[in-house]
Amino acid sequence: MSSSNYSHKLRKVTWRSFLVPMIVAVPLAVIFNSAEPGPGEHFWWVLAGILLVFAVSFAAAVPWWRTMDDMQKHGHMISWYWGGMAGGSAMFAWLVAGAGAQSDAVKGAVALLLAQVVGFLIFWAVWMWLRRGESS
Amino acid sequence: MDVAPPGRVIVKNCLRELRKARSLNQAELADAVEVSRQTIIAMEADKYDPSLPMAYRLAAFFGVAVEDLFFNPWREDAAS
Repeated sequence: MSSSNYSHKLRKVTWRSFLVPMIVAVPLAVIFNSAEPGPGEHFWWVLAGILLVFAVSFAAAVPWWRTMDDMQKHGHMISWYWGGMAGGSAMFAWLVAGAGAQSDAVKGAVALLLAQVVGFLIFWAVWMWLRRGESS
Repeated sequence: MDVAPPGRVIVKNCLRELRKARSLNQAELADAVEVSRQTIIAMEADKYDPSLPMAYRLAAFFGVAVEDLFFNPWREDAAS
């Protein structure tokens, strides 16, 4: 019995989920950086490029997520939820205190927060919908 | 008894004993049931309760019933 099949497989998909998005992200970052677009300039190209990187990242992460066992997934979910909330809250407080509530930085943080809430609600609704059953 | 025991419910198990009876180390068991070694360590230390599918998989691997591996804390005859 091999003692490293699973861990080897997990290591492989973990690296792949990190490297595949880089293959798309790095050339796009170089192109965008060299074009030096001003605010709102080449809006659709920049938006499409960034969304492409995110889409590839999501797709590359699926095999990694499916390979992880219960405890690893649980650890990631707990860490992302509570750790992400704690880190985001602390940074938000820092920005409000340091840059002012009306600053562009705080407006950006609020926009990000609202988008996260919307994403959360959509995923929550779909998750619950897929688990509905007959009540009696 | 069909009410939850007071405090945080800890599902104890005999994973370590069954593994040692098979002369397996933690890495070998982890590989056999496709989980990480850290997960086996956490379960043996009663610090992580597996999902039902993982509990069934472990029970099937050792050829025992799930409740013979993970002791039901809501039953009066649960191993302590």
